[in-house]
Amino acid sequence: MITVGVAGLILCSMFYRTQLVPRLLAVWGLIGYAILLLGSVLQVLGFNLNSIQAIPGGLWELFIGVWLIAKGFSTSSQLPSEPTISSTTPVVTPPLVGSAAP
Amino acid sequence: MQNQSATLPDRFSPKPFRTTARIVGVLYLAGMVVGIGGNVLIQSILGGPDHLSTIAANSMLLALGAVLWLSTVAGDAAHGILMFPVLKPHSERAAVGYLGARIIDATFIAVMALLILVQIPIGIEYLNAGSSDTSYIQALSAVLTRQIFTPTSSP
Repeated sequence: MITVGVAGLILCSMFYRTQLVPRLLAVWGLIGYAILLLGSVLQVLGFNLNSIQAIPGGLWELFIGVWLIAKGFSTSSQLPSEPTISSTTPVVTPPLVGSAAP
Repeated sequence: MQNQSATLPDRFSPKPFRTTARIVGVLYLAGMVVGIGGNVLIQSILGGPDHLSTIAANSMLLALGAVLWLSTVAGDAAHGILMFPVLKPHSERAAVGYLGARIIDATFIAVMALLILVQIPIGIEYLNAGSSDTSYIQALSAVLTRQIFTPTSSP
């Protein structure tokens, strides 16, 4: 459950930064997985929380599941962020891709 | 090479990674249903009083619950694999980190499924054991499942 929390925090921080899904959803996920991570650590230390720490993150997973099936990833963010990354590192990335491809 | 040429148009299309998004969405919902289903099944057998004497008779149901958990192992790993090309153009570190965290998470669930399956031979030994040995076997069973049920949570 600790690793579920860590994985969820990585994913939601990326969702927040890239706006692949609306930021409100990303914030909900960040809060949900932070609670999950904190609760899981408390359980390791011996506190019995009866799994209530999993509820916000679990509801988020249900909601994001429906959202991704219905709406998919947002486009508005994907396009602008793509050129900025490749334009900041124009020299490094193309040779790497080129040399790795064959 | 083929992957890259296949995902590049998808990435820049009006709906980037549309199929990936759908599959990830289904995985979230399916993972929830299968995980909770397995949990209910396992809890119904191991949660009862004196469960050790009934495990041998219900071993198929318990194994089915473990198989459901094992299928969430595949689903959790698939999350990391499917999101990798989506996250990579934004941050390769985050993409690798997410993949790694998902694989570790899947491995932990696999270990919990193993602890469930180990209850079946323990239950058989319990039925075969003499009365002097039953308390040891009960303690062994309790120690192995405590990490999953009593103070700690489901996957």
